[in-house]
Amino acid sequence: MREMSEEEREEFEVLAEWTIRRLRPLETVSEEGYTERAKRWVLYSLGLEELHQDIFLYLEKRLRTTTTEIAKEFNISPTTARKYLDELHTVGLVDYIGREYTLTYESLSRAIELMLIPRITDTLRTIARGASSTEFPVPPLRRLSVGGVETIRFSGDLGKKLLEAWLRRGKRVHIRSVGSLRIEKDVDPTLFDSVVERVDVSGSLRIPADVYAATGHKFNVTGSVKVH
Amino acid sequence: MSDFQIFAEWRIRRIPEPSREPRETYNERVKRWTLSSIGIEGLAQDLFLYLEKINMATMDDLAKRFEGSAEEMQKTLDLLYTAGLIDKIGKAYQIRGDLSTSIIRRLLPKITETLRSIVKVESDARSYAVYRR
Repeated sequence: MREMSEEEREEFEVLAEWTIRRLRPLETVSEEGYTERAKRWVLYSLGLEELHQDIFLYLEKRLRTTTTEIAKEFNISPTTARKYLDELHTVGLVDYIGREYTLTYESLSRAIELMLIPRITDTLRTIARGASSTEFPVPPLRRLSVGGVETIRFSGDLGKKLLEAWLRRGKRVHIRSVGSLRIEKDVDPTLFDSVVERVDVSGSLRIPADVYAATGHKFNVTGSVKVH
Repeated sequence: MSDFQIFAEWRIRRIPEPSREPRETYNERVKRWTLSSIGIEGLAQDLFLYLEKINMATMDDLAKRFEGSAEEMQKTLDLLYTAGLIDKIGKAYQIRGDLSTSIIRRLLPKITETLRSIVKVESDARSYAVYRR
C-alpha cells in the first residue's frame, strides 16, 4: 500500500458528535443551589455549554416547549434554538413530536443510562468494526448473513484466538451449535460481547462465569449450562 | 466559559465510512476515518500512524521528526494516551495494539465508566434535593 499525499486526505462529514468530559468532582454538597450546580456539572460533562444547560433547565421546568418559545425566551433566532434543541436530542436528553420538544426521561441519569450510553457504545463498536477492516474488503464468505450478522455453525471449544480473528475481520456472529459448546477461560467478556450477537446451543454449554454474567441474555441453550 | 475544571475529554463522531476507491490508499483512509471518529485529528493522527510504523519513540524523536515544540508533542501524546491508543514505558511511547482492540478494550470502558460516574453524581444530587425537602 502506498502512502497518501496531503491532497488525497479526505475531509470527513460529521453526522453526529458527542463530547464526554471527566471533570473535577463537585465538592460542597451543602452550598446554596447545589442541585442546579450538580445538574450543570452533569450537562457540562456531556459537552453541553451554558446555553444548552439553560435551555435544558427551562424545559425541565416547563415540561414541553417549541423552537419559537425557546427563541423568544433566550433572545435567539428560531434556527439557533433548533440547533441547540437538536444537540440536546443527539445526546438523548430531549425528544420531539412534530414541533413540540419534551424531555426524553424525567431524570438526567435515566436519559444517560438508557439513551446516551447505548448510543456511544453502539457508535464505538461500529468504529471498531470499521477499523478492523483496514485491508481492502474481499467478497463475503459463503455463509448465511442476516442484517450484517453472520450465522456460523460451530461446536467444540471457542477461544480468544478465534474471537479476535472474527473481530479483526469486522464480524458479528450468530453461533449455532449442535452438540456441546465450550467457551474457553481465556475469553474476555467485552470481546465476546463485541463479536457475538446470539448463541443457540442444541446440547450442553460450558462457559466462564464472567462471560455468562455479562452476556447470558444472548444464549438459548436446550441442554445443561455449567459455569467454570 | 465554564468554571468546571476539565481533567479529560473525549469526542466521538458518527462519520460515513470512507469510499473504497482508490484501492491503494484504502488502508490509510480507514485508519484516518477511525481516528477522526474518536476525535483524533491533524498532528495526533500523523503521530499515531508514524508510531505505528516505527513501533517505539521518545518525545524528543517525535519533536524532531514533526518539527514541533516539546509542549505541543506532550499535548498530542497525552491526547493519544487518554484515548487509550498508546502506552508510555519510561521515556518511550508505543502503540498499544490494533485500533479496533484499543477502542473496544480501552476507550469504550473509559467512556462508559465516566458516564456511569456522571450518572451517580446526578442521582446523588436528586436524593439530596429530596432529603432537603
